[in-house]
Amino acid sequence: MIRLLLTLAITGFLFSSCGSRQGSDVSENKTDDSQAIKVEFASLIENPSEYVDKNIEVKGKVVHVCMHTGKKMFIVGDDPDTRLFITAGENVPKFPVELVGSSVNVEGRLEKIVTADKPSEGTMAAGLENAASAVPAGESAAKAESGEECATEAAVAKQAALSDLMMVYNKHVVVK
Amino acid sequence: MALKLSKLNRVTHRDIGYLITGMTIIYALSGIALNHKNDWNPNYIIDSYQFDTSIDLNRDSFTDETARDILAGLPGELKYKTSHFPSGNIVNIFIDGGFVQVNTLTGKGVVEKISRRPFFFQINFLHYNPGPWWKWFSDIFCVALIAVTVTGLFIVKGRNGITRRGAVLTIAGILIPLIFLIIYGS
Repeated sequence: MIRLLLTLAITGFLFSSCGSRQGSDVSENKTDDSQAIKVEFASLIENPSEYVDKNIEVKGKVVHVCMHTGKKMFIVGDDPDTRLFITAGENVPKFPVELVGSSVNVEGRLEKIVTADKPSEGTMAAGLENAASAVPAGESAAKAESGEECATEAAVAKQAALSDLMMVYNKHVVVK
Repeated sequence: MALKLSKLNRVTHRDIGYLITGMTIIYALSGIALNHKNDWNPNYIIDSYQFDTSIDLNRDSFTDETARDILAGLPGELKYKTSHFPSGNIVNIFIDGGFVQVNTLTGKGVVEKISRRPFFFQINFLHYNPGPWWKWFSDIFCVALIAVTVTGLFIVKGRNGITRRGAVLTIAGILIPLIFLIIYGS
């Protein structure tokens, strides 16, 4: 009996360790049951205040997932310079890095960024330098990801629209 | 009465100890892995190499074909997904299992192939608190850890017990973090 239980436990863990199921790391966050409003990315950029504190669904291309924590994801629409910051929130597992480059329909609540979610001034300044500079030889983006630096966050901070907003993730569907 | 309490203490220590063995090892190993996250990526294995390209990279003329041309000049089979070319001088080309980043001014680029680090990805996933139920479960685990520690203090009697040798070691164990707090906390 004991041998059986141990074998089952070890086998179960090994099975869970194998494979890479895209999107399986992010489960649905059922904190908000209200129907999501479908919004075009361009409309969101044009009139973001209309959707603040509302549950929305927007389609975009994932251009960055934080490999450090997995809790941050950035998507863009047709305008490659305007990214939407999506945070996994407290109750949702991390975003899989395999999502980068995929088109997704993301649903979540659009909120104003509170101080705690915004990078500190020092971090932002460091990030801005990274964003402005070229990729230095031997220093990959993945290495730059470590610690608090994140060039993508810095780029979001200086973009013309959506820089002060974030989406608190609810669920997503990979379109392509 | 004292004997009954002693037995209860021992049984509690033993059974909770068995129960939390797996979780303790998971938290301990992922704790070590995450402690050194500035030295390695505990979640992903990243294979990267640099390259140079002579292909002209201009945002206005950049298309999927341009991205495919860059990939075609690189070793291995890199399956194109999409690209992102914001203003500035960096273009990102996303491939299955990674991405390629090119500096449009210098033509220098880097390929990063990313795969999940077996075992550590899973235990770190648990360590990072994957959901509300896990939060409660890990709270219970922490309480159990305290229970095992406290009951462990009273298992042995005599000169190796909590009143003599045990007291010295317990106090030493409390002093160590306090010393670190004095050194780094001020």
